[in-house]
Amino acid sequence: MFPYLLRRILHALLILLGAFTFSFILLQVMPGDAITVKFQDPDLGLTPQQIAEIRLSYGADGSRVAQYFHTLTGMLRGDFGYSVQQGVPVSTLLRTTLPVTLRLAAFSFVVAILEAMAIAFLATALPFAFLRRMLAALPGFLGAIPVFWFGIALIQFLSFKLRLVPVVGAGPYEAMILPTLAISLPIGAPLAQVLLGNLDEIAARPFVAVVRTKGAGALWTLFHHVAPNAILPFLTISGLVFGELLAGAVVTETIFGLNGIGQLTQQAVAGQDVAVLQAVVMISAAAYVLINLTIDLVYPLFDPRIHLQGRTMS
Amino acid sequence: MIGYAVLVRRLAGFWTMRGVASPTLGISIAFIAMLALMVLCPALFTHYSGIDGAASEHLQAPSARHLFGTDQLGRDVFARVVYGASRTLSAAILAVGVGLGVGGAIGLLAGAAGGRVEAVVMGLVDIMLSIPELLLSLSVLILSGFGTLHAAVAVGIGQLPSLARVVRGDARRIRALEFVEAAYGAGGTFASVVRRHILPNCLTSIASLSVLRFSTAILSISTLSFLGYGAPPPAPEWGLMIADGRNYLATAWWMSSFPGLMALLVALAAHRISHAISARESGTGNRS
Amino acid sequence: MTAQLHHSPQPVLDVRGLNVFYPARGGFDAARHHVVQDVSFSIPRFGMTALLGESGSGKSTIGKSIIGLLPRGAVLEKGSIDFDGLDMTSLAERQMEALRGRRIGFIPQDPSNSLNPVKTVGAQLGEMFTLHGRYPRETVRARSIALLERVGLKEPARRFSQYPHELSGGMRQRVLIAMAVALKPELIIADEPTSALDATVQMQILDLLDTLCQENGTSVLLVTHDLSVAAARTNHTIILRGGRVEEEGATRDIFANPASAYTRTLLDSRPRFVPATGRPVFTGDQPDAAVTVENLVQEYPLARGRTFRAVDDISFSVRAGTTHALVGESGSGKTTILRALVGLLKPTAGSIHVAGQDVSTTRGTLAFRRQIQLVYQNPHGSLNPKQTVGEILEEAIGNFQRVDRADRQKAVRHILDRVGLPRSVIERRPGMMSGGQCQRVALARGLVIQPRVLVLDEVVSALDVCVQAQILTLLTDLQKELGLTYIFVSHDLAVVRQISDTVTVLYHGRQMESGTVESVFTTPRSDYTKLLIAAAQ
Repeated sequence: MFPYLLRRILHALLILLGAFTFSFILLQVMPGDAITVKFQDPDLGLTPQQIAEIRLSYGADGSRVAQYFHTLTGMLRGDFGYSVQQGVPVSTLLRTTLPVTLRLAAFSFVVAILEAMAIAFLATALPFAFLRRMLAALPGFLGAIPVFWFGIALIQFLSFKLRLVPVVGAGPYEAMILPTLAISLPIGAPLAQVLLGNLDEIAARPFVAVVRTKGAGALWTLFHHVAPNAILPFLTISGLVFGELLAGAVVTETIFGLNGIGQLTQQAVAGQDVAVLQAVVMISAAAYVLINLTIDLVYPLFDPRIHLQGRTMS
Repeated sequence: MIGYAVLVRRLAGFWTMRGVASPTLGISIAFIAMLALMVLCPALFTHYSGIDGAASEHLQAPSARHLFGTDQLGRDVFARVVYGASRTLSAAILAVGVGLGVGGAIGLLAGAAGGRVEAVVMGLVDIMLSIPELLLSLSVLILSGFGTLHAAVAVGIGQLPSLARVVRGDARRIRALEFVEAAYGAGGTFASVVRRHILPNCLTSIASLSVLRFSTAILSISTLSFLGYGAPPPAPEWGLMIADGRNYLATAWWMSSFPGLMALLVALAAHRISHAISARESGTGNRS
Repeated sequence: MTAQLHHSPQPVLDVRGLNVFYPARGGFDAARHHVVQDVSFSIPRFGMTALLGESGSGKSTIGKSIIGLLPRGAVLEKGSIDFDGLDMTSLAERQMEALRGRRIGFIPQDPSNSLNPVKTVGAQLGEMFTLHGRYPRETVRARSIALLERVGLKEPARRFSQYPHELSGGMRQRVLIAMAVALKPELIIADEPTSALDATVQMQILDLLDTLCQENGTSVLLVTHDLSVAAARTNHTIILRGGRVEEEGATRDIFANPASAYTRTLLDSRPRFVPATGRPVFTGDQPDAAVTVENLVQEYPLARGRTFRAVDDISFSVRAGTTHALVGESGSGKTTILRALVGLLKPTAGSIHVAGQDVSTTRGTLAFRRQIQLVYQNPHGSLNPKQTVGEILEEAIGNFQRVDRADRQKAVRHILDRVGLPRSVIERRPGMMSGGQCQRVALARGLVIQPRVLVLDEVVSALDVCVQAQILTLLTDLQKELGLTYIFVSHDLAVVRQISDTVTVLYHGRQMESGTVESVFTTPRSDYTKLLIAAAQ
């Protein structure tokens, strides 16, 4: 088991390093970096020499290779550089914004999974073919709703019209209700499709027909045989959308005025604040890698076929 | 190249697949056809301008005169939806073109080649996959600057890694089939096997995928416009219109609801068509 | 039909006027696609009944109609299925569920994917009891383990807690049999229960089924395409053809004097394990060998630097213009040898020469591929579904020489004539042709570049017996006309004896013996060969 674990961890670190290198090349090596863009503004009236000094103070001077290692070692120490726009360390900004977004993402993730399972199982098990067909079509519909439009509509109807959930002056958890709904519905939709597809695919396997010949009913077969086979790959996929949840926060936080990394990102792009954007990219990549690693490590505990391989490998 | 008559026959046959004409599929195809017409000659649909309005007629509710109502500057919302179709849809086509042209080609070649080439290429794609699509698009946009064209390319690049992965999966599955080995055995070269065997057998799923990604691209481009990185005002772009209308939702719901509804309908129609393409492929074939 | 139900006055199951169809696919022709038409037969109590037919005869559909589990889309139009006074076609789903497993058991075709991969053997076997009654957990466990022991599994308590992937195919089929007999049903429907298994395992499984059913007084409906199995194992036979009953009667009578012309053709086409007539006899030492394999070893890498030796020290040589057979069951290494022969694998040790060229240095070159061509087992799988027959053949020609379109088309027409296909197939795609036609196209693709050696990988195993006989005749004719050398891989000894001159018997990658077909088959030296021959007779 140990070499397997070690290999997975090594692989995860490699992906993370790759993501850093990729984002560094994309964001910092390309011409027109943030500092130059910001301070070359003629309104500021800075001389090229002054700009060079500023660049030095931000650590943006020196060769590209030196910069690369400077930024990399910085990130390893939790130092993500300075926000050009706000003039404070990026880590300070993250400290206040990250918890908000993580909370939102965690809530939305749980709701999205529940939504996906509810749709998929009902669409498989409900009586009447037309009910099943309607539910099977629901994810396509939900996935087609533009998140930003949906969020606005939610505020309008649930908050302003029906006065169910306050938007202004809401507590930290009350404020999460609407954004959670807004993100989780469209993110849960593709998950529901994946699960539904898995259930269909498993239901068509020969062993399921054999279970029926033993005298098992449709529901027994679904919950005792089809579902256990379909849920595992579904959970693998659902882990991967966690990163998309962080990205989805960009839109919802802007709409609902939440002070999370989503809004931070939105402002960073508008103000060409590259250091902030790279920090957000790296946080998402880290979340993705961490979740993948967890799935890789946990999966063998549940799937007997992989379990055996893991054992023989040790 | 297939002739026009053949194309029509194929479309008709496609609609009535398995002998049962699907009404939802028919409506979806008709809707997309109407949109295409909107893109090509918007003047057929409305005589109002998409950009100029009459200030005296601002914030009017939908009526026979203004089908979708008017906005705060007195512009006809229907006209803006019609003129916006061309901007939004061509941007989406460009995005899918970039994503599929680059990502699909990478995936196809990697999947068809196998071995070390595949491992290295897909390793790079895996790295890109660790960055969420929207953040990848934003990383491109922050450098390229804003605008519809840049937003479209950024969305395409955002979709690139996942497209590469999906197409690679297909190519890999086909490569493992016996007839591919048989083609090499009968003297085929890598290029000829990809062109004659692997690509033709991936085409249906690529077609289905591209229609599906077309709908997500529309949503992504609208999202970027909504965030303020896409089309600059006063351009009629659906995402931008929704963003403009958000402050008037209580008084003039039609301003953001109609463009939102259009984006929803296009996505739904594309979804339905994409589903039909892949269902047709799996539907034909063996029945013992 | 005068049923010979002398065993017992009351049949266990009586089918009358059964019709099953699939709704039409094309929108314009309203014709329903009937897979079962007006089928009537009865299954006598006790003993085995064969439901015999080729692919497309509707035999599996009938089996599934009886337990009320037709595949999605199929419609039972009319007819009655009488089981102990119950018309099963009119029972509610809930009543059928109570019947299935408890009074009518089922054994599926392919043991490899008929068990739930994420549940233990014990959980799946125990389900049989819990679905049909209330039993304490310990009773279920004890009875399941006893059943596993009864079906001949060693260490039944350990098997109980194992997962299906930890068991071999034969062991899994035993587990499935244990499930079917668990509640001592009156009838078991066995849908091709052994066709996915090796011949030696096949015998054991059928013996087991026989014994258990006699013990419990269970009747068996054996759905099969295999004439030999039907002849050897059953006492009553129903012959199906194209969804209709061709004839029904005591197995002995049908095989001795078949009433219908179709049954007679079937029986005549069946390859028999007898010496071939009219093949020239070759001796072991061959001066002009088309293929020589010397001390071939082929290893596959496994995890952590270990290797698996699939082929261990194999040597044989094949004289030009003759057929050499490689015989063995699954895991014998015959497919690996063949892949090494055509240059798809690089030998770990030893050498292979084809028409004077050393495979390890020339493999992959056009000059080498021109000499040796491979024809696959599955005719549909080895042809690109998107290409027409014309495109498939022209591509092969174009790969080897630059000739203009007219010459290519001429060559295509010529080769189609040779393999006995009408020219009208040029525009067709594989999906629109039968398995036999596709196999002819695959042969044509191999032959169109005029190779010296043709490697035939189980080329007739996926085909019905009548088609099989036609393809074998074609192969013999082509060899005579073109002077081809064949390497013929097969698990079917009867076929091998008909078509081959020399043979190598393989077991777990090792060469058991090698020599002329008649010397090996009449005076086998190894015990394994004797076992194979016993299973073939």
